[in-house]
Amino acid sequence: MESCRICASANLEVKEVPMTGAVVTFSEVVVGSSGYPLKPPYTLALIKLDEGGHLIGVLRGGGEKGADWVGKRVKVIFEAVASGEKVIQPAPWPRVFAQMLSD
Amino acid sequence: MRPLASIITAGCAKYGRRDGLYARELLAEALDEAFENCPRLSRADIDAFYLGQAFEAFEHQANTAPSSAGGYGFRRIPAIRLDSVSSSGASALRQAVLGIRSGEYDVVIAAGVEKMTHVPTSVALDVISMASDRPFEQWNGVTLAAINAMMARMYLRDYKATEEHLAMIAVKNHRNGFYNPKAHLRRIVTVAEVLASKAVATPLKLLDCSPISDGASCVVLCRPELAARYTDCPVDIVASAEATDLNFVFREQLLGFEATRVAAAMAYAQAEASADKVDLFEVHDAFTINELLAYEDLGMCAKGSASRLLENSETSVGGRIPVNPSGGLKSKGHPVGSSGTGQAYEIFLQLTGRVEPERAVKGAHTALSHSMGGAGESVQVHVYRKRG
Repeated sequence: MESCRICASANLEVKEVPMTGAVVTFSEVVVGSSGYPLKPPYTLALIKLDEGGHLIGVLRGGGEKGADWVGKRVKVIFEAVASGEKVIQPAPWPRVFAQMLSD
Repeated sequence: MRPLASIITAGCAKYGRRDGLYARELLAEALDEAFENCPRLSRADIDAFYLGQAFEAFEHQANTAPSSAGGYGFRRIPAIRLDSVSSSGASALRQAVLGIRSGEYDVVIAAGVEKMTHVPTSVALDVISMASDRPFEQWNGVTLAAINAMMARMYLRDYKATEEHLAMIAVKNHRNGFYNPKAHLRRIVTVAEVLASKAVATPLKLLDCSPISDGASCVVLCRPELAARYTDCPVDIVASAEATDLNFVFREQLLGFEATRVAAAMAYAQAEASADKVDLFEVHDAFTINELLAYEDLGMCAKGSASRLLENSETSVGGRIPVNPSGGLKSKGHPVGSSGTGQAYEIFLQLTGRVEPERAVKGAHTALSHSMGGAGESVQVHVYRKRG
């Protein structure tokens, strides 16, 4: 097996994981960029996956504004880009979302 | 200790909204100041031109170094553009230092520029978001403000600091920038105003963020032994260090900037100095949280205790260790590619006693600049000493 192309770790194994984790930190994005299709405000969360590693994605199912999401359990969802969205990328790439799991 | 290179002159275009001008015209404004202030220097003396400029998208223009150099009369010399986003200018400075150090060149220019304000803010933010990883960060709704906001939330949660402390950084830097004629936002603000400003990415508010600015700056460097030929008061660069890191989302350690810690350690070793031997700092403060973290990563205080420096006004002009007497990126402005060379310009003025008295660091002899690209993916640290 080759090394990881992102962190160069030789400890690399391809396996299916449940893609659950917890919110480490988050931010409600009020001023967004024109390049992201979702209009602000949206809540961006940094997720620590149970199997290790981090992902960033928009939180879904959060609800109330001003709540503290740190430590909340989420499931990571990958979504294909909507057809018709013009993008520059060498290969199709899904978007990451973090779905809140009920306590 | 033998200096690595010497700054003989410097220039800076007024930062702000500079309607109707192209990047190359802003650059020419900065270069004009440098040459006017150094009559013994001629354009024919310049051996190489290093340009920090982050984004091609703003003017739909790549290949900017040769045209910028040639357009100012530096013909047929090596001219190259460096990109490390927000620290592109500092990358240009470091490569210029290395060019001198290698023995290849006698006199070189390190310049930086960005023209940004002519596009709508949401478009500017999309361009700036190119600093982040495309598939894993930008693609998922990340803005630079959001990354720094997430870091700020972690810091405020883990340590004894509040949003008021972040606001105090904005207040301090706006106060300094108010007295800087080159600054973009020359406006005094209060903690209450910062806290009441509109949310950008919680917990960061508009007045926690540096503005989108147009601007350019440059320094002219030469071999240390040639400096007396051009000026009676050169400033020596005694350390030049650089380190990089993985993109934010891939890091094990999310809080603080390892690249700053590594680059600072190298710079202090080269300069045979430590943080307490530095009289003034110009640090990356694109967002207030960056300056707070820089206090710790640069060794100015212990981890988790940065807020105390603010409570005691230690980093204000007149305090024990003034930080960002220029106003920083926060108030002086953040024309991305120019911010690194802009710090060197400020330090050159400070160490040669040419700044407005309200923001002058009296008796300063040693200074440090800390420039950061993206969310800490690239960091350059330089240490400067007044000669004599």
